[in-house]
Amino acid sequence: MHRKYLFIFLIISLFVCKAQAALYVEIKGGQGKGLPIAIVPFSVEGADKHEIEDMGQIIRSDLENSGQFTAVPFQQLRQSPNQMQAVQYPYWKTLGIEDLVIGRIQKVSGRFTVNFELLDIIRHNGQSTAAKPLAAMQFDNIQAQDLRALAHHISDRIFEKLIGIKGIFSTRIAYVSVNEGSKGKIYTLEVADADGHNPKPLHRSSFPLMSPSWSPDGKKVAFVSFENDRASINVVEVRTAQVQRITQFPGINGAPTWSPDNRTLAIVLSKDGSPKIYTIDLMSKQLTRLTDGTGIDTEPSFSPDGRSIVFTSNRGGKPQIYRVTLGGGKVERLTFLGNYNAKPSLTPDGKRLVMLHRGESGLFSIAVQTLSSGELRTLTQASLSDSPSLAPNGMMVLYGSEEGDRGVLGAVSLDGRVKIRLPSREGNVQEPAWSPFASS
Amino acid sequence: MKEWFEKYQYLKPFCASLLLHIILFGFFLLSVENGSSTHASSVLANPGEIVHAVVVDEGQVQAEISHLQQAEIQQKKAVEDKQKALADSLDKVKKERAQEQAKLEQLKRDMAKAKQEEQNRLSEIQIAKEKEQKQLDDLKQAKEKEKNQLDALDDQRQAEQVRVKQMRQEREKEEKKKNEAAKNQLAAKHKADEAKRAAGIAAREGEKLAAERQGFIVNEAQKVADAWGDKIKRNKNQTFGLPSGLKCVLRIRVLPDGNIQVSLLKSSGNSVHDNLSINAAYKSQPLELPEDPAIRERTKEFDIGIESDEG
Repeated sequence: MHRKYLFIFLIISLFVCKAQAALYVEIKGGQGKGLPIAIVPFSVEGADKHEIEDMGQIIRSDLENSGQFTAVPFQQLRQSPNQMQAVQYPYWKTLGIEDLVIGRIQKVSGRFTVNFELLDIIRHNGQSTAAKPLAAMQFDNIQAQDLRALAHHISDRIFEKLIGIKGIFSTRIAYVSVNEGSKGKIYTLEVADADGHNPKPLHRSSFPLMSPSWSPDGKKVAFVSFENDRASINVVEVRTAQVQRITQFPGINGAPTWSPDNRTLAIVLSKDGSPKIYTIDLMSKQLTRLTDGTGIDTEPSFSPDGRSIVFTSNRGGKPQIYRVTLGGGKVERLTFLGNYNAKPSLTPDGKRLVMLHRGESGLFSIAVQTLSSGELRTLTQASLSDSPSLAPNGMMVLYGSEEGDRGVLGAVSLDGRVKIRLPSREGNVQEPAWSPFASS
Repeated sequence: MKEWFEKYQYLKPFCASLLLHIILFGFFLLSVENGSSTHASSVLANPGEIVHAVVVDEGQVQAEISHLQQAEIQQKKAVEDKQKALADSLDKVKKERAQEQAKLEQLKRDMAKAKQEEQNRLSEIQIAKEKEQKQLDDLKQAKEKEKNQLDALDDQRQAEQVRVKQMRQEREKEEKKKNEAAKNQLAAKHKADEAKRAAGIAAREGEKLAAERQGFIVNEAQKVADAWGDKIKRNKNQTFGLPSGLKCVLRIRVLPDGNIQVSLLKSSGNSVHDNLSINAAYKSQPLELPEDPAIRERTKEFDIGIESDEG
């Protein structure tokens, strides 16, 4: 018996020896705890550092909030080099970090020059101080008000370099804020940086504003207005805040979303009875009805390839997610778990469905379902009014949530690992929409 | 004997008188011889007297000689008488003495006889006693002998039992030995057969041993490398959103201090996965080196395939 095994073993080892010159090992997966990284506060030359944005802090928050990094807090740093030659690798190695970000801000004749380097701590052999950085960039002629955006841009660069996915730190969000005015509620359609900073109003009304949606080029936002108590679908140009009315049919005009090519809006109209899914060509204004029947069809969303639309329908009795192809009008049901699934959107790779989900427990949550397997994962608890919106890189979901009697914005990573709350604004904030990547 | 003595009792005086006569006769003989010689010698011894002689007539001489001869005969006769009286008294004394002697002798003899008799009696008693003792001794001896015989018999029986037991044990031992031997033989044969077979597989013993050692080294080296792989996996960051199924292969050179040099043997096509993998390897140094130099030699370089998993 023993001898037999030995013989087999010898044969196998012989085979292995021939097939593989060296020893071979195979592993799969790893730890999902976030890459350990340190960002040193940028040095400032020629200006008071309190008067300008703290770029190091912005970058640190961006990376930390992405859920992909574990950034060392500034107060724990015992060294703050700003030049590569000043980096003492052994110290940084003791922190257990893999990468280090250093940078400098110089004010030259009213404009700023910004430099940053991304350094590999792990692979540094400890011999040469002039190691080649993983990334190094210089930005000239930057105005003070653009330093924050530049910091997000640097975050994007670092993120993409280390994670391999485009960062969303330079993207923006649109939402509706509701404030109590002297003559009642005031609804404001706003856009802000993805981290909630730099809010900018696009449209203001004493009538409710709803369902903002970014055009794929990031230049426009479609939204629903109830001005004069009549629902209408409108598009506002972000740069100029100019509003264009698209539809104002009797009954419901709602839930506009853009086709990937910017040319078409998918909308919900009830002009012919119960709410149905339509598309409207923005140039020709031509309407196309996609769904039929007596049920309610709503909340359409284009697939990334633009060939189909996912939507919510109660045609089966309870709200569930369906998909309709644009050419043939074929409808298929996508969700089967839970008794309430709504507000669908597909990830950029088209493989997963993000939605508002109510399971057997009766609690609402933001959930993600893998289409191929039907496997469903809940990311965070939610309420009926929450409307999830996917980040353009598909890594995070933005959602409006209630905190006390106030609406706030939160975000959760698609693996459920990271949950953040965006900086709170005055009043209620609701109906967030995540912008696409900046086109520029 | 007693009787004999009583029978010839008269012989005693006779013999004594006979003896006395013989002694007397002896004396006589002696004196004759001495008389003649004494005469002649006295003549010779008194030559002076002869010188004094004076010539005398023959008839006178004759008469004188006859006188002298007469005198001499007389003297001789007196001596003879005296001698005879002496002899008689001597004889008498002798006789008495002889009688006395005889009496004494007799007494002596009687005493001796009595003593002898007593002796004989004592000796007889002694003999009887000895005989009795001997008989007793014999009896005792016989008894002893019998006892000894019994003892011997008993001993014999016991010895027999012991012998039987020993024999049995011996037999059992023998049996056991035999069994064991058979078993050993069987085992040896088995072993030999197996060895033969093994030798057949490995062709030559040396080659087999070398192959075994080589197999051991390969096996152990693989274990070491697997442990390193686990360590690298623990140090590998799996970022979220990275496509699953990306796979790169790293070649890792292990330096004598356990530190490593990593080269990308095959890219996954995704630089982030490649970098995360390389970082994981570097973060794992120093690697714990095996103690066996042969295993260390074999593990001084290894390849590791690293695959991304769903985020």
